[in-house]
Amino acid sequence: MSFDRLHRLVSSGTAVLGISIVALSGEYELPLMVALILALAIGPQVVIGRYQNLLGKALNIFAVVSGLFFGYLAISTSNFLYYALFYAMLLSSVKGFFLFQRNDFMQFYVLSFLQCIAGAVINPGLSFGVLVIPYVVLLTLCLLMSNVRKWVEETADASVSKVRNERDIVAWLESKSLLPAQLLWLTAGLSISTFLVSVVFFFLFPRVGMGFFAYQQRPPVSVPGFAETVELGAMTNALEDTQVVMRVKAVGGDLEPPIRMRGQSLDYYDGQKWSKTTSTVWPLRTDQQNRFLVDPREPLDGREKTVEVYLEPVSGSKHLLFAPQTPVAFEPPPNDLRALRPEKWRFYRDESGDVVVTGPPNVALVYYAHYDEHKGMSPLFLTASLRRDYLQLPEGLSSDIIALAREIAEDRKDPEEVASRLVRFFHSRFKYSLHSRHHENDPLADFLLRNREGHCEYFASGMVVMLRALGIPARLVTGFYGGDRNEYGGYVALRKSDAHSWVEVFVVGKGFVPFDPTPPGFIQSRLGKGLFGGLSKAIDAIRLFWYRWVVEYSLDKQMDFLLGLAMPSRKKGGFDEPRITIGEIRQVFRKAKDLPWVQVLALLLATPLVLWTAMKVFRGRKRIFRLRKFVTLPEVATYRSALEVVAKRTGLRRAPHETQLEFAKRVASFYPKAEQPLLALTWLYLASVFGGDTKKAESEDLKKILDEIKEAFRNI
Amino acid sequence: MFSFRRFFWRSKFFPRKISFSREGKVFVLISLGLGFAAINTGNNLIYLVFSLSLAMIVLSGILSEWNLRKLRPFVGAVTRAEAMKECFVEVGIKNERKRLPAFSVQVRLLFEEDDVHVRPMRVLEVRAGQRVNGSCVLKFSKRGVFNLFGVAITTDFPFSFFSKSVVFPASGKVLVHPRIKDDISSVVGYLPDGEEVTVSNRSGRGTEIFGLRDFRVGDNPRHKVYKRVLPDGKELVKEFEQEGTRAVLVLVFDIYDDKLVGKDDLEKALEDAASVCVNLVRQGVQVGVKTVSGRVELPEGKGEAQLFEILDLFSTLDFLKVQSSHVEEALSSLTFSTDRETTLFFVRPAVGVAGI
Repeated sequence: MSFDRLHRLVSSGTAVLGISIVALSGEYELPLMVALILALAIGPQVVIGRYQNLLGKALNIFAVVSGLFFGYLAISTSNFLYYALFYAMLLSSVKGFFLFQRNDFMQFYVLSFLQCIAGAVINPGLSFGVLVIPYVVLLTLCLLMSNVRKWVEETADASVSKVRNERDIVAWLESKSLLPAQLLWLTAGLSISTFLVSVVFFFLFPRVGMGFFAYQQRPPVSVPGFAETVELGAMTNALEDTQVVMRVKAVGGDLEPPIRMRGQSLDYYDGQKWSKTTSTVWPLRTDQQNRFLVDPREPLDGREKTVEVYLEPVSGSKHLLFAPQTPVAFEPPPNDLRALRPEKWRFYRDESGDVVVTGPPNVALVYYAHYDEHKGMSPLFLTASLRRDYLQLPEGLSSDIIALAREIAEDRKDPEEVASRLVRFFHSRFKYSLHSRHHENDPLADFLLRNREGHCEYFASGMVVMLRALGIPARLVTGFYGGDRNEYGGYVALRKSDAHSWVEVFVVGKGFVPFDPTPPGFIQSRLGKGLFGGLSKAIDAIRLFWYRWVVEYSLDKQMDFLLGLAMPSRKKGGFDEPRITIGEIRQVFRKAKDLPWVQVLALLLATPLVLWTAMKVFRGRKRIFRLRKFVTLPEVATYRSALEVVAKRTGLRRAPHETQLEFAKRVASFYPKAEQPLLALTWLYLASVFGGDTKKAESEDLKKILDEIKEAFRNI
Repeated sequence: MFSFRRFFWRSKFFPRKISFSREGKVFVLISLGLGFAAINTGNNLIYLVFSLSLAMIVLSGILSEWNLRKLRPFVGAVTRAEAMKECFVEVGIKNERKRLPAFSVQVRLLFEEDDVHVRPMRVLEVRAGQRVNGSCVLKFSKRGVFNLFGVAITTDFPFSFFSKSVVFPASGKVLVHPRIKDDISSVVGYLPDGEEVTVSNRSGRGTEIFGLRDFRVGDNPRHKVYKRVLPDGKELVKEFEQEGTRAVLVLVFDIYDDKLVGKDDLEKALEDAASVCVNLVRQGVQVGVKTVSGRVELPEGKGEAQLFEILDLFSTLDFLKVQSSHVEEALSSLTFSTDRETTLFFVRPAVGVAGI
C-alpha cells in the first residue's frame, strides 16, 4: 500500500472514531450520523487531481456560508453546542473530500479533535472510554504520517526548480517504502505512552476549582413503577429491559442473588392505579456515627447487616432509597469535603417508613443501608386514619373477588395465616406471564377471576385487595427482586427487569411483614450463560469502574486515593475502595480465567482472517468505478513495462546497487539491438522522475520506443 | 543593535531552541482552552481529553529531545557568494547512535547577520551509524561580510507541533559580492568628457567601448571627440576595443549625503560598476578600481585573481557620508586623470530631485 493511501485510510479511521463518539451520545438523529460517518469513510479515499485551487476556494465559501447559517440557528434557538457541533461535523465530512496538502490534513484532524472534545461533554458513557483509546492510537499515527508528508512537501518546495515540483510529490507519496518501518513500531509505543501518561495526569492533577465541588451529572435512568402514582401494568415494559439500575455489595460478607431491595409502598388503589396518600414527611436524625436513623427511638444494636448501594442517576431531585427489608438506618459514604459542596443530601421519611433523599438531579447515589431482617416495617402501630388507608378498596370492587377471598381464607383471622393461604393460592392456581392482556375496565378482576395470568404487579395488587376485603390492613410495595452476581465487580447487579411488586401485611406487634404472591421461578437471568453473559458482566464491571473512577472522580476521591497510597493500612470498603492490593490483582486474574477465552480468542483470530479474505475477494473483482484516481507518469509506466519485457526475455534484472543507466548499458552489452531504444527510454524515465521541468514525451513516442524494445528481443 | 534572532540562537541559557509551528500554537491553545473548561465545569471527561493533549505535548518534547541526541553536523567550506544568488554549501549529518534512527531532521547554517535566507538540508531518516550528505542553500540579500556562528540541527519530530534545535558552534566568514548582472547593456557609464557610453558584454567585436588617444593620421575622422581637446590643441579620437589591449579604470562613487545621493543609489551604482568590471575582466580587459573619495584604489590587472580582488573590494566597500557640496562637486566633474592608455569609466549614481 502506498504511503498516500495508507495516510488517507488512517485519517479516515480517525475521523470516523471521533464522530462515532458523538453519534453514540444519541443527541443527533441516526440517519444523519450514518450519512456523516459514510462521508468521512469515503471522502479521504477520493483523490481529486484537478482544479484543486478552485475547489479549495469553493470549500472556503461553503464554510463561511454554512457557518453563518448555523450561527443564526444557534442564536435563534439558544442551542449553541448542538449547532456548533453539527457545523464541525458537517465541515469535517466535506473537508474529507478535499485533502490535497498537509495543511488540509491538519485541519481535518483539528475538526476531528473538536468533535472528540464535544463528545466528552455530551457522552459520559463507557462508549467514550472505549472509542477514545483507538482514537488516540490512530491520531498518533496520523500525526506521524503528517510529519512525513510535511517533509515531502517541504523538500519538493526546496528543489532547484522554482516551480513546485508536483510530480516529485506524487512520486514520493506513491512510494510504498516512504514510511520507515521503525516509525510504525514507534507509533505503537507512542500511543501506549500517551495513554499511560494521560492516565497519570488525570489521576494526579489537583482537582481545584468550584466545578469539582459539584456533583457529576449523567443521563438518568427512567424506571416506571417508582413514581408517586403507578398505573397497573406500567412496569410491563421495564420487565424486559436489562439496563442496570443499581449495584449492591454486602459490607463484611458476600451477597448472593436473589436479593430483595425495597423501594416504596403504595396504599391507595382506585381500580386502575396505585398511589400514595401518606404525604407527611420529616427529616431523619443522625446518631453519633452520622447514620440517619429511620426510627430514632430504635438505635442500632449491632445485629444489623449492611449493604452498600450504587444507585444509577434518576431524574428529578427526589430520590427513593432502596434497601433490604427492614431498613433501620442510612449512611452516605464518609466525605470530609461534604461541607464544601454547594448541594447537600437530606434524608426524609414518611409515615409508611419509606425513605427518600433530596439532592442534585441526575447524579448517581452511593450510600450504606443498615437493615434488620427480623424487624417489621413501620409503622408498628396503626392509627385510625392509617388503618382506613390500608383497608381502602376501590369503588365498584367485584363481589366475586370478595367471595373468592373469603373462600380462600376459610374464616381464618390470623393475618399471617391468611396471607400465607393467599400466597399458596396464587402460587398454585396462577401463572406468571409478562405478555398477558387484561380487560381495560377492570384488569384486576379479569386477572383474578378469568385470566389468571400476569406479572408481579397483578399478583401483588390482587393479594392486597383480597386482604383488605377480609379486613386485614395491607399495602403494595415496589422494589427490586432478583439480580445477577457480577464476579468481576464483586456486587449484585439489579436491572430494570428485576423490578418487582410484593405485599406487606400489617401484623399487630410486628408491623408490616412482607409476603410475595408471585409464583417462584419467575426470576431468570436475562443475561444468559456463556460468552454473552460473561462479557456483559465484564462490561458492566468496567462500566462501573468508568463511572466511579473517571466520570465521578472528584477531589475527595483523589485525596482518598493519595492517602491510600501513602497509608496502606487505611482501608475503606465497598465501591469507594481506593487501595489496590496484590490480593485484589490476583483476584482479577483469577476472575479473568473464568472468561470464555476460547471463544474470545477464536473471535479475535477469526475477525482479521475474515476481513483479509473479504479484501482479497473484493480486489479480485472487476470494479465498476474507481474511487481513487492514480496519477501515473507515462514514462514510468512504459519503463516498467520495458523492464518486464527484458526480464521475461533475457532474465536480466536490475541489481540493487545498479543505476538505471548502468543496467541499460549492461543489457545493451549483451543485446546491442536494444541499446538505442532502451537508453532513450531510460533517459526519458530519469528526466520525468528527476528532471523537473523537462518536457514530457508524447505517448506515441513512448509506444514506439517500447515496440522497438520488444522487437529487439523478439527472436530471443 | 539587538536582534532577537541572534539572541535566540546564541543563548546558552537555553541549550535547546524551541519554536512553535502553526499547528503547535493551535494545539496548545486548544489544550489551554480545555484546561480552563475542565477546571471551570468540573467535567472529568473534558479533563481526560485535556490529559491526553498534555500527554501528547510532553511526549512530543521527550521524543524530539531523544531524536536530537548524538547527532553531529558537518559543514563544507564556503568563503564567497554573490548577493541575490543561491549558493550551495555541502553539509552532512551523522547519527552516532548504535541502534536507533533519527527522523525528520534539518541542518541549517546560522549567521549573525539577518540578511541571509537559509534553506536547510532536510533528511527524513538517518539510520544508526549512518552519515547523510546534502546541501544547504544560502541566499544573501546584500553584499558584505557574513559571519557564521553556528550550525543548528532541527527536528519537528514527532507531531510537528514545534521545532526543537540544538546549536553546534562554528565559525567562518562569507564574503558576499555584489549582484552581478548578466546583461549590462543598460548600464550607462561616463567618459572623462562626460560622454555617455555603454559596455558590450561581447568581446573582440570592435563595438564601442571607451578609449581616447591622440588623433593619428589614418584614423577615422568620424571618431574624433570634438567636445574635448587637449590643452596643446591636439585632438582626441575614440579608440574601439581590441581584445586584450585595453585597460579601464572604473570609478566608483562612494560618498553620499542623503539629499542628492542616498545609500540605495550608491548600492545600485556599485552593482552596475561590479557588473561592468566582471564583464570587462572576462573579456580580457585590464581593469582597475578607484573610489571617488580616494580611499580605495586598485591598479589595473586582468585574470581571475584580479576579478576576485575587485569583487572582494566591492564586497567590503563602505560608503562615506559627506556634505552635499562635496557630492555635488563630485557629480559635476571628474577630477581624476589617467594615462592615455587607461580609460576612465564612471558609473554615476541616480541623483535626487535637486540633482545635476
